[in-house]
Amino acid sequence: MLIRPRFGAWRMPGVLLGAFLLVLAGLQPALAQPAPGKASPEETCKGCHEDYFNGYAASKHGTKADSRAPASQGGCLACHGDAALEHAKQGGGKGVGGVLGFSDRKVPAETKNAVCLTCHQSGARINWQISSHASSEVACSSCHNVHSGDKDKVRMKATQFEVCGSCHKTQRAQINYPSHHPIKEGKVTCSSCHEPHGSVGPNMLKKETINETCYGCHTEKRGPLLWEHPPVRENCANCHTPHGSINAPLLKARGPWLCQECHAAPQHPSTLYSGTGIPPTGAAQQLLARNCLNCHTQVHGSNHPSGPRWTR
Amino acid sequence: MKRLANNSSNRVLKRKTLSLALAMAFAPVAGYAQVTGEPILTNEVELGVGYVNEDSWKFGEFNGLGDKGAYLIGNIDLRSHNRDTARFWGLTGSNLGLSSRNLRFDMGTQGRYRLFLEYDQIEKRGNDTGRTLFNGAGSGTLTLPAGFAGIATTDTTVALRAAKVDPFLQKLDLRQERQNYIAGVSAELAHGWGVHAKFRHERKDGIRLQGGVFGNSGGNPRAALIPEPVDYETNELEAALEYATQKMQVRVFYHLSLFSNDNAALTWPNPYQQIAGWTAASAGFPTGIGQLALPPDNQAHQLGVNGGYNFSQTTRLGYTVALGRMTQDEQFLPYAATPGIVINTPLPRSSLDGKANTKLASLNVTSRVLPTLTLRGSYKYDERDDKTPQAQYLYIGGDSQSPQSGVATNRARTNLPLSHKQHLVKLDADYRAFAGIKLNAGYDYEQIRRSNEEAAKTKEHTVRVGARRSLSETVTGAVSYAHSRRRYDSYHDIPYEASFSPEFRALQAAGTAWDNNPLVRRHPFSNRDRDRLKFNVNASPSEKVALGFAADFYNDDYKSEQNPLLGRQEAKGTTYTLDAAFTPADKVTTYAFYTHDNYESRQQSRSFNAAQKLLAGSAEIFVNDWWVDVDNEADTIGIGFKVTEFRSRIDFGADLTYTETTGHINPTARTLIPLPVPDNRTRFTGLQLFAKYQLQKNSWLRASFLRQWYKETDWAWDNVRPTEMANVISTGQQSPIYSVSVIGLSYIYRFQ
Repeated sequence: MLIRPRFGAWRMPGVLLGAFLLVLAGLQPALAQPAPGKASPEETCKGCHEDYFNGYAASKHGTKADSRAPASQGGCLACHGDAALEHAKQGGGKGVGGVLGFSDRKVPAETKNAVCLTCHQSGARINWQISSHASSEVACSSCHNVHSGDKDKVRMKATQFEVCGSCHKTQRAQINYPSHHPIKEGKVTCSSCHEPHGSVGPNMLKKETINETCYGCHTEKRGPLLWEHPPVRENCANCHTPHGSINAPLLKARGPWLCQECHAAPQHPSTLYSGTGIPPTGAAQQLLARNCLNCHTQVHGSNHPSGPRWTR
Repeated sequence: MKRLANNSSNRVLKRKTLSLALAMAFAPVAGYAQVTGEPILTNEVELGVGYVNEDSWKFGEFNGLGDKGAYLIGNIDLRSHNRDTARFWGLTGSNLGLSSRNLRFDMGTQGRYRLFLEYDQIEKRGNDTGRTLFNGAGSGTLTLPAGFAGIATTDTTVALRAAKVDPFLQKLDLRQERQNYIAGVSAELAHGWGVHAKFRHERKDGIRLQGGVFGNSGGNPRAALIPEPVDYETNELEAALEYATQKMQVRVFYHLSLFSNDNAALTWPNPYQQIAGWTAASAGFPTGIGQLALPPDNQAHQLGVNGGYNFSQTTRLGYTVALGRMTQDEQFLPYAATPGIVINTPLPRSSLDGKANTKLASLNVTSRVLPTLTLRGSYKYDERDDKTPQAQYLYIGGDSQSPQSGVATNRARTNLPLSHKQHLVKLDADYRAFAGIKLNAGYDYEQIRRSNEEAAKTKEHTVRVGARRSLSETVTGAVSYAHSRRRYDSYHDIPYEASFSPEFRALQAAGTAWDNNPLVRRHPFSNRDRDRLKFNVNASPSEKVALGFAADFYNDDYKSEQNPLLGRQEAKGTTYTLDAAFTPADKVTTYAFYTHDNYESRQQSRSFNAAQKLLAGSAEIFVNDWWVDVDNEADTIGIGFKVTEFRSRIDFGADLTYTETTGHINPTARTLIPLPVPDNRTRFTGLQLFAKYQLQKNSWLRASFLRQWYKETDWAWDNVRPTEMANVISTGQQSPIYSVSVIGLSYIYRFQ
């Protein structure tokens, strides 16, 4: 039997972590310098683009003391290119001077993304190039608003779905179905399960498989169990649909017919259930309430020695 | 007038007092980021009162608003960010007065380190209209109420059973709550190195509904829906060490997850008196005891490396290697809990020693070989190797059989660990052709080997083509088509042969040595042809108008190598969306959309009893063949608008959502006479209004109104009384219907 983890077991790592944090807290940032040859034209740009500037200044990009940030790498030029100087010199205007505009629909996403990936290829973006978003020509700026200070909608729990839902329209509808994950309630976000910057998992899931993604919250179903139910162990999506369903709990179809797609043994597993088992005509115990699960309740597998039929 | 003036001055005083109090409360933290006097950038506090006019578990399923009454509106967003020192901190909280609250504190120095602490809570309400016969809901041991006499075989009508059960029913409130405590740290070290760690501790408590059955098969099961306790704890650690340069990025990660359950078992007494089919004489009321195994403690570890290397500006290599292990070794429960059941063969093991190793390896290359041509290729290997020891178990069916009767029965079963190996190859070419149009062609090959399942090996080939236009200010869109062909090498009843004892199988007559009809082809690995067509177009005829149409259609045809085969025959999905957005002025946005979503499937099976096994298992037309068509339909309409800075002071808006769903089941048969199944329907309408009025430069008054109507019909529960079924005591719960209004009034203050 497992030794149950308790906080006591974490005491020593906790102390070490605390000590580590204290050391970190004492660290002072290195004073950043503008990149050689790039004089920051922030004030010039601010003259016409004050809202954009204020949003930028309030964001991580605007942090002068971070030597990695655009503010230390030429300010606006770091992302919009040196052509921004020519743009300013000619008095501005859309596309004037060859300035790189991230809202310009005629600039390929790949060109825009190359700018972002210069600094952001690491971490969660390591797999960007194999993502469906990359191949579908989604630009970083399609989802992110770097001029919104710290209010980038896609990075906020309550509003992330508005951004994702603008393209993923079926899912935008599905979160309103009677059985759904708490997405519209803001408690589960798209990025709780998906890695929008690319992953080796299916459908850009954070984890390598659908099941390992589900186990993140539904840990109790991980097993291994004595009596495994094969379709469950192979893929939760064999029976469930994740974004919303008309059949609770997030089932693709209703039992007993869902179960009968695979099970046809003598007697009740193969019986045709219909209105004959619904009151007032009848009351079939395999049809009403939890249908098959009234008895075969351990449908996710059982660890009971008497559970090969998932009743224990 | 004087009174008004006094009121006004009082309000100003109150506002100043509130501002001062809030400023003092957060001053020490705020000072952290204000070493050089840089202004605080975002600091907003919202406090107010809301009121819910009606109890509804369904309305409050996740949002914490399930109970009638007043609640606190509390949201905070305090953040400071100093451009000159890179120091920052933030304290954000949402729904602080509700059980869906979240509170998070961040601090750090950008480019150096970051710490955060977070608390997150979510309550999931379940149906609270049901009732239970059992005492002790929420614990691992249920009891029957004093005076309950047990349901007898002579209680053959609903009324007779109700007379026994109804006087003892008590309210059953199904709800669960998760509480998460999360802490994390990340640090950027010198020369491109970084470390990240996140720890999460979760408690999940509550009650869920479960089925508890006595008996095994052959018409002798007697069940009751019983409350199962949920007392889970999960501890999770995610740690990563990263190194990144322009040329290469690498990330070494470790993931640990520990799950524990305070309850190993759920024990309940049998509410049914002894029946003839139960060979254990003590199985019935009042001596019979049932016991379910609850989810066992388990652990998972994973260690891996994920990286990328840029050979040039146009060619990149990516790779991932990860090794994992999942273990579970909870002490086994006994074969049966009912006293007096004869166990003449002990358990082969005291615990499972379950162990599954996982391996993942992936490699991918992306290269823009020409300015107009990009090639991508990837290979992925994913393996789950279940090393769990196998043994033969002589199970006791539903705490009602005695004694065990040797191995020449269908009760001698060997457990079947499930392993699989997947190879997945993907090749893609993107060609930028003309007029901003990109053409795509791709090919996927997937091979999966499975252990202890009917199809030991499946292969699937997919070809894909598509075109996309994205470089346009007026019309963009994409169309793609994919065709997949999946086939198994052979289909054999491996689970039967591997799990049932040779002694039992030897007793079966020729042509009947099977557990599941051999004509069934299970859809997760049966032969299948899939066609999928996706299309979307977005048009912006003017700067103020955006229109969109998107459609997604797929058709799965489960191909049989002979007819008739049983199981899923066909499945198809159709969704389409119409979208419109209109921006008549700078500060006004409007939107509308309609989505239709439809899933249909068709399955075939045949009704038969044990005496008909031989005939039912042969690939001939059978008298009791039947088909069921499933049709799930949903239509959703959304419409709304938002106006900001109306008369420089007012923001207001409205959102209306309507969703209608229908679940339609159509059974047909060769000779059987099924009756129609009523449609299950839901209707949801949600109207949300808000207005935000600026009182001063840094304060607002916010009013909100939410109204939702919901109605559901479900024949599985509606009008099904607790004793409606002869052999199952249900809860009598009914489908939700609600009409709830929520009003809120709050004051928002922003620090300057």
